[in-house]
Order: sequence, then structure tokens, then C-alpha cells
Amino acid sequence: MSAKSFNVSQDDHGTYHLHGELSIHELDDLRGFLEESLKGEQEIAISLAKVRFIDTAALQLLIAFKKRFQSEAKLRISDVSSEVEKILSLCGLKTTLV
Amino acid sequence: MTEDDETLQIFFSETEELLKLAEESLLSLESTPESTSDIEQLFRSVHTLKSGAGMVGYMGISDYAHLLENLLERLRSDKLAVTNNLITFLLNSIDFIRSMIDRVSQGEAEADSKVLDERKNQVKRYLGIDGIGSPEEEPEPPVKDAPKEAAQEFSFYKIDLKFRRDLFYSGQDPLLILLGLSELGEFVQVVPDFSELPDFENFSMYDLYISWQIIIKTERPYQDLEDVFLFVKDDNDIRIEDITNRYRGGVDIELAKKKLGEVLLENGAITEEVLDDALKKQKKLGEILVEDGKIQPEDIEKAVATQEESRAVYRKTTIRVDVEKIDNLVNLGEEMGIGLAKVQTLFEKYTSPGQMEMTEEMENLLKVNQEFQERVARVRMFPLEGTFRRFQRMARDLALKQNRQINVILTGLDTELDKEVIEHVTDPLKHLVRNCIDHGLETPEEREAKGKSPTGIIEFKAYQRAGRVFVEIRDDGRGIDSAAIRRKAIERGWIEPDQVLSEDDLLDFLFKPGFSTTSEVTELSGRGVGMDVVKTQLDQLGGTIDIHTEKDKGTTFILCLPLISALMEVLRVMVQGASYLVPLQSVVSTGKFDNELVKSFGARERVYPFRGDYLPLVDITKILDIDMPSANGDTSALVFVNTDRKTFGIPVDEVLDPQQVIVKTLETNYRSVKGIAGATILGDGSVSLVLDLLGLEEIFFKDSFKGDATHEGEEKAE
Repeated sequence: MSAKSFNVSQDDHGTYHLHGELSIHELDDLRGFLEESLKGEQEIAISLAKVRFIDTAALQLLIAFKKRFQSEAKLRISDVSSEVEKILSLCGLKTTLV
Repeated sequence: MTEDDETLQIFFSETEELLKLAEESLLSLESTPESTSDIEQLFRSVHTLKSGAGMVGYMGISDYAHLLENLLERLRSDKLAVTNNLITFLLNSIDFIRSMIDRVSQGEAEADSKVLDERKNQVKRYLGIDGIGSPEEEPEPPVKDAPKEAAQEFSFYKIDLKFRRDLFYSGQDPLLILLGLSELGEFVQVVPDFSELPDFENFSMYDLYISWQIIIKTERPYQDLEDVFLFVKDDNDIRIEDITNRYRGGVDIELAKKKLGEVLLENGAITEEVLDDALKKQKKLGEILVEDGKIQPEDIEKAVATQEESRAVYRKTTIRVDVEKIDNLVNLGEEMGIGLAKVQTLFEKYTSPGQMEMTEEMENLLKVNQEFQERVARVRMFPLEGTFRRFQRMARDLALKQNRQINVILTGLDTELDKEVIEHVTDPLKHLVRNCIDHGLETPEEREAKGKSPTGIIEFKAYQRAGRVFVEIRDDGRGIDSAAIRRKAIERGWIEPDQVLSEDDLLDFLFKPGFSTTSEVTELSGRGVGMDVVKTQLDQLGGTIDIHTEKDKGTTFILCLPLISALMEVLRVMVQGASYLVPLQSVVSTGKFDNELVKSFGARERVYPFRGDYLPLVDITKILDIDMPSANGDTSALVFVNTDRKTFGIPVDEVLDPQQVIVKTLETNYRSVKGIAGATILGDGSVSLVLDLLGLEEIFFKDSFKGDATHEGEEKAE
């Protein structure tokens, strides 16, 4: 597998911070990370503050996960970077994702 | 046309529509007085009319309509009962408004001020004291010079983006397309659509499920927008629509009609699930009322049904266009067709590389052109509904005046007829309606004595057959007394006392100038206009009239009308080197011609065996007087036609393909010729005549029977 163009770190509050670029090439990894982190009982929070770019495929995947866990309110996505903010408003996806 | 003129034009055409609507609802209200939807429609029409008149500065009309509106308000709030008198009064009021409109359209004053005051007082009498003046409802002040629209530099486009599901595989990303688009202007609205997104279990992350709708405000031309989609345009569903007109001032005027939920959803402020949840919690007004025991469920169903109905009417919007504009389109379409046909012949003449493809393309173009011509021709066609409704009104008024009770039945309201024909047929129809009520219908007492229902029936019926439109007016009255006609005819010296005549021949005398069966002249039909005028008017139009009558059962007038510039399925045949078109609807069969089988009687009568019968052969060259002995042409085939009255054969040289053509009558530019329904320009640019089978039949059978010359039709047209 090629080198990941994104990394994940976890802060003291348990929030996952995604770093780098989220694109169609990272879908497998992104999916793996989401499935793994959502296995437990507790709610998880993901911050996109450090994401410099996200493409439609990755956005769609996040939305699919978010919708899947919507009823349990288990997945929370917050803190977007200015770049992501711009992309979200361009696609009209801000209210759906964040 | 100046802007003011245009505003007035719109006002006049709208007003005509409103008056018609008002009249329609009044008539319908008379038969179902409890109908709230009719009252509502009536009220709306008058209200709109009032505002419109005020807007263009016709204060007299506006004031009068305002008073009427107050009166209708009383009707609406059940303070006034629907009576025959009231309906008559309101119908008269509508007529009065129409007369004012007529006057102002000719540049005259709305009405004599005395007359207007008197009319107003009449309304006030109905209003009683409490109905006069409701200051909050003062008519709007005239707004002749509406502020002009600020010059608009921006355009608004609505773009629907629905991509292929496997878009990602081609290396494309909607995000980049949106980015490219955003550089052209400002996104007013971006709405993603997740409706295609499957359940998580079926979700495939390399497929694209999201689609978008974008509204963009831009100064750039349409082409620039299209260019953004250069690489994805072909296999994705991308639609760009210029919505500048409904997006005036940067606000979508359509929003006004939408529900809050829809707007929030479109703006992306809420998701569909949220909206659905909220809506589920919301109770319907009807449910609340029923739960509280305030109303029965049936009442709600009834109200909802009426509401649906009125909404359906409301949605039917139309625009009005000058007929000349449509005619121009018709002519241009024809010229285009001729041009295309010429080019096609050139292609076939000169061989060149790629000829096949070019010919194929040409054929496509010709088809498109044909379709275009047909569609434009249809624009000229109008349903007879409006005309029938007017007669319904007229019949009602006349019957009431004569103390007759009638029930008017209208059928075939959506039968379409060229506008010009409709206009020309109105007068003859009017006369026939008068005739039915004046001569046909008995008084209720007479009817009861005969064992009939006291209420008479007048039916208006329209339908299309054999490339013509038929309009019937039927009554169930006393019928036409043929013995009386016979007596009159003898009196006038038209026939000998012992002459034997068929019923039909006797009825024909009705159309002779100077004939009238009733000695008393009434206000209605005794205006010195006889049935002969009806006949003349129909002749000029290229139509015919037939009468069926039976004593005490009633009379039916059957008008057979041409379709001006109408679309017709025809069979093309060649006769003596010229091409003719036979209406396909009437063609029974075609067959080879065998001279041996012809049997002749005398010089003209020839018959031919067909399906066990002998049918007359109608030689169109003789009837139309186009026999050219020098022309080469041998009868080799027969076309058998049926006109509903007669079946006969037409000898032709050759039978060609059936086709669809737009028929133009000759009288527009030439004159009406009996036996010819019209002419058309064929695909190859040549002109061909369309045979009028009923006319041919009439010349051949009637005239040969009476021994007249064969050119009666032409003489009449002069």
C-alpha cells in the first residue's frame, strides 16, 4: 500500500484529528479508520481542522457514515479548516456534514 | 407598439377572458346555486377586472366593478340569495362592462355619465344600505407609468447536475466542476441531493450518488457556463436553464408560491428527514376540525375536491399572441420546407462524397420542419368551448324571455377549429339558436300536453370527421312541419301543387331567400334575416348545412365546416399528370382499374363493381372541369371513398404514398371552389389540391340528378 496522504491523531479529549488530504485514493484507509473507531460504544468526534483538501468521494463517504450513525448521534464532525470550509460551501454540504 | 399600448392590449385581452369567466360561473351558479367555487371564481374575475381597469386608468369601469364586487361579497357571505333575477342582473352587468370595454377600445368614453350613474344606482339597490362604500377597498389609483425595471446586467441560471454513477472512474470530480463554475459568478444557492444515496450496506464508496442544483448569478454568457462542462457534458445529465426572468431583483419569485418547508429544504437549512419528522407531527386542519367535532369528514373531502379543481383551473396559464405572428411562422415554415426540398433535390442530382450522410441529414431536417409546421398550425386552432359557452348564455336568456324552460347540453367542447372559421361561424350559429328557441321549442304547457318534460333541451355538439368539423344544434321541440313548407312553396310558385318531392328537397326550401314559415315576426328571429343568409355565410366559408327533423321529436341542424390551414392525413394520387390529395380518413380502399368491368348508363353515369355492389365512378376531371384531352394519363387505378352519405370510386392514373399535410383553403387568397378543400405545398415544393369529397359528392349526385350544369360551386363563389 502506498504512503498515506493523511494521518490521524487523537487529543486529550478523545477527538480524532485528521491531517493532510482526504481523497478518493485514501477511501480504503478512511473507511477502515471510521469503522474501527465506531466499533465501540462511545460517541466519537472527528476534527477536520487540519485537513487541507477533501474531494467529493471522501466527503460522500463521511456523509454516508454520518447518516448511518445519525440516529445514535454517534459520529460528530467539527472544526473544519478554512480550505474545507470553502469546499463545503461550494458543494452546499456544510449543514449535512458538520 | 409602445409600452402603454402593450399594457392596454394586455388589459383588453385579459378583460375579455375575465368577463367570459364571470359569465361562465354565473351560468353554472344558476344551475347549482350552492356552488361556492363558482361564487369564488366570479368574485375573483370581477376583482381582477376592477384592479386592471384602475391600473390603466379606466376609473368608470373600475368603480362599477368595485360596486359589483361589493355585491358579490354579500353573495359570498350568504347575505344575499342566488335567484334567477340576480343572475340576470349580474349577466346584464357583465354585458354593461363589456360594452364599456368596447367603447374605450375604440377610443370613446367608457359610458354616458348619466347611464353609468343609473347603472351604479341599480347595483346599489341590490346592495342595500350596508353594502355601500367600504373605504378600505377603494380602487387602486391609476398607475399609468409603472417604474421601469432597473437595467439588469446579471443573468441567473439554474443548473442541474446529475452525474454518471461511475464518474470517479473517469478521473473526474464534481468538486472541480463546481469550482470552475464558481469562478464565473456567484452561487446564489447550492442544493445537494442525497436521494440516490443507498443504505449503508449497499453503499459503494467509489460510486457517486450525490447530485446538485445550483443557481448562479453571473455576467458571463451562457456559452461560458457550458464550457465548464466540456468534458462531462456528453454522458452526464447537465441542464442549464436561464431563470433571470423569475429571479427578478435577485429573489426567486417562485418562492412566494412555495411552502416554508420546501424553501428551507432547498436552501439546505434542514434535511429531508428533519422536514419529514416535523411534518409528521403536524396535524392537518381538517383532522383538527373533525376531532373537535366542528365538521364532518365528508365536508372536508368535498371542500378538498373543489379546491383541487380550482387549482387545476388556476394552473392553466395562456399567453395571447397576434394571429399575424403565427401566420408569419406558418409561412416561414413553409418556405423553409420548400428550400430544404430544393436542396435535397440538388444533393440527389450531383453525386459527391458523403452524399449518403447528407441526404440522410436532409431527410431528418425535412421531418423536423414538417413537425414544426404542424405544431405552428395547431397554435391557430382553438377549442369550441368559448363559442359554445356564449351560446349557452344566449339560449338561456332567449328562453327566459319567452317563458320557455331549457336545459343546455354542451358536448365536444374541446373540438378544435381554426380561429378564423370560429369567427365566421358565430353568426350563422347565433341565428340557428334563435331559430330553435323561437320556432322549435314549445312552451312548458304545450310540452306537458304532448307528454314531454316541461323543460326543453338544446344540445350543442362538435366533432371531427372526414377532415372536417361538424357542429350540431339539436332541440327536442316541435320539429319542422314539412307540409307547411310545401304549402309555402306552392304559394310562392316554386313548385306545382302535385309535384312529388322528398323530405330533404322540401327542407331545402328553408334556405331559399324569401322563405319564412311563421307569419308572426318576433323580436328574436324576425329580424329580416332568414335561413338563406345562414346558408350563404356557410357557403362563403366552404361549409354546408343539413337539417334533420321529426314532428314533435325535434330538429337538428348539422353544420359541416372546413379546417382552415388544418392538418390532414391524405393519400396522394395522380390524375392527368397533376397530383391531388384525397383525405385518407374517407378512403375505403384502392384497387386496379379494369375498363372491362365498367358499366355505363348514358353519357356520364358509370358504375364499377366493388365488394358485391356497383358504385358510381366520379370523374374529377369532368366535375372540376380540368379535363385536358391533350394531357397524357391513363386511368389505371381506383380510389374508393366513403363520405358517410355515399360511397363512390374516383378513377386515377396512379396512387402514391399517404402523407400528412397542412391544408390551406383557397378562399384566403382566391375564392372558395366547391370540390376543392384547399391546397398544400408538398415536400418537393410543388402545389397539390386537396379534394373536398363532400363537395364533389354534392356536385356529382345532386346536380346530375337535377340536371344542372356542373359549375354551380364556382358561380356561387362569385
